[in-house]
Amino acid sequence: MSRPEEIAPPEIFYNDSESYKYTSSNRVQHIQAKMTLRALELLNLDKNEPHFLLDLGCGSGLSGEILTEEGYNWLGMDIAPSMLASALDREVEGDLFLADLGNGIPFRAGTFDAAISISVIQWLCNADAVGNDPKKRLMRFFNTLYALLRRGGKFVAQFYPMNDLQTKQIMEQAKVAGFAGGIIVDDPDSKRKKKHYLVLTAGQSDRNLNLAGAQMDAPEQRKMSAKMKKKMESRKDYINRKKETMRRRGRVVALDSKFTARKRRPRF
Amino acid sequence: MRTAVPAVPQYIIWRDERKISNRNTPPTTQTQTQIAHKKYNTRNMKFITTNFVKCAVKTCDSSVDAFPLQYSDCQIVQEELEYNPEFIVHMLERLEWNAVVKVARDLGNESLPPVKPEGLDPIMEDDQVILRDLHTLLVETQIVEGKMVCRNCEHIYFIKNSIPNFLLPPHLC
Repeated sequence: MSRPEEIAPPEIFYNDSESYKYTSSNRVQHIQAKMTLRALELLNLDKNEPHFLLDLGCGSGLSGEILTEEGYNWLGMDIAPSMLASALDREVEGDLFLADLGNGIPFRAGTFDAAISISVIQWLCNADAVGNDPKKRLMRFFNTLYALLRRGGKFVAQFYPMNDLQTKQIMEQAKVAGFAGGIIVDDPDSKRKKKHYLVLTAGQSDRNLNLAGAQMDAPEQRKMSAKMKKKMESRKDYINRKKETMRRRGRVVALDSKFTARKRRPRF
Repeated sequence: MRTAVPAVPQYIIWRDERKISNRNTPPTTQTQTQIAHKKYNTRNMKFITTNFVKCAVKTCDSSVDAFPLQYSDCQIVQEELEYNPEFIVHMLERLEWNAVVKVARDLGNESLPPVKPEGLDPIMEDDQVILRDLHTLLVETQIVEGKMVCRNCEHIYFIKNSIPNFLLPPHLC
């Protein structure tokens, strides 16, 4: 399976022919639409109110069209001029910006109600040019994103991580910027259909994210009974525990050293 | 409250000005604002966006001058779009009216009221006139070509073919 991220930087990879292929492919359209709808479902915005959304890496506006259909006003940004040109040809509703997300998103604080991003942020993990530090770029991206969302704003990003390290790196930078949230994996068992969604909130929101059906992956710590604990402990633990108890009762106890609870050799 | 905002359509200036300027003198030389007569089909940078966008350079983050950008040599079109009063009211609260006035002045409209119209209701009949005017100004007025200059670092961002270019040269990244 080839990854476009490994071939060339986005503004070069998505040239005229590639963006035409991308935009005219029914399969891509279908998948993009599905992922956009899923992202909106996770955002859980109030349908009765108008919202102003930011589409990061809007490309040719495949996701933007869904946003328009769902009744949202949006603004899109992308780094590939060819993709934006095909977005213009398709007469999408939102404003379009040519910008590099890794250099920060140039908007005033508190502008957007929410942001989505479909199949984009894994590009930020690449160092495409001299002096490009993915960590710094991710940090700049998340910092500016945090600022431009209103308090309680939400951000859902579908992305294709190359490995767990990338996921960790992205999550880490998002946390540093002040976001709370995590990653939702849809269809974790299927290699092809597996989709990662980064789900973040900036501050407390009155409307929570829609996490219906999500299973927590964090391993549960089973509480052990005192009896079990005693059974599991080693000889050394046992001696240290007894010494601690005696010390608490005020008895004179030998000081702890590296020899405490060591086994005596036969030559002793 | 409502009397503070005149009921005359104050916000549609460009459309009227075009008629006047065609008859009499060319548009004010000071701003060099041009109004396109051609009907554009594609979407352009809406006026409302000018109220959100600021300089992308990192060192300008903490500067007050980085917003709003200074607009010059702009080509403007008016495109009729669906009127959505709820959206206007929703966005109005987060608009910085001073910046609206400033940018409008850059683009050659001096007649905006200095105070933000407030307390508008998307359903009320009385407010419809103002809301429609705001719709014309914020959504239907669009920039096709032009220049945006950061007042702090003086970096020039170009708007070409209705897409503003915010890519930064390597030394500003």
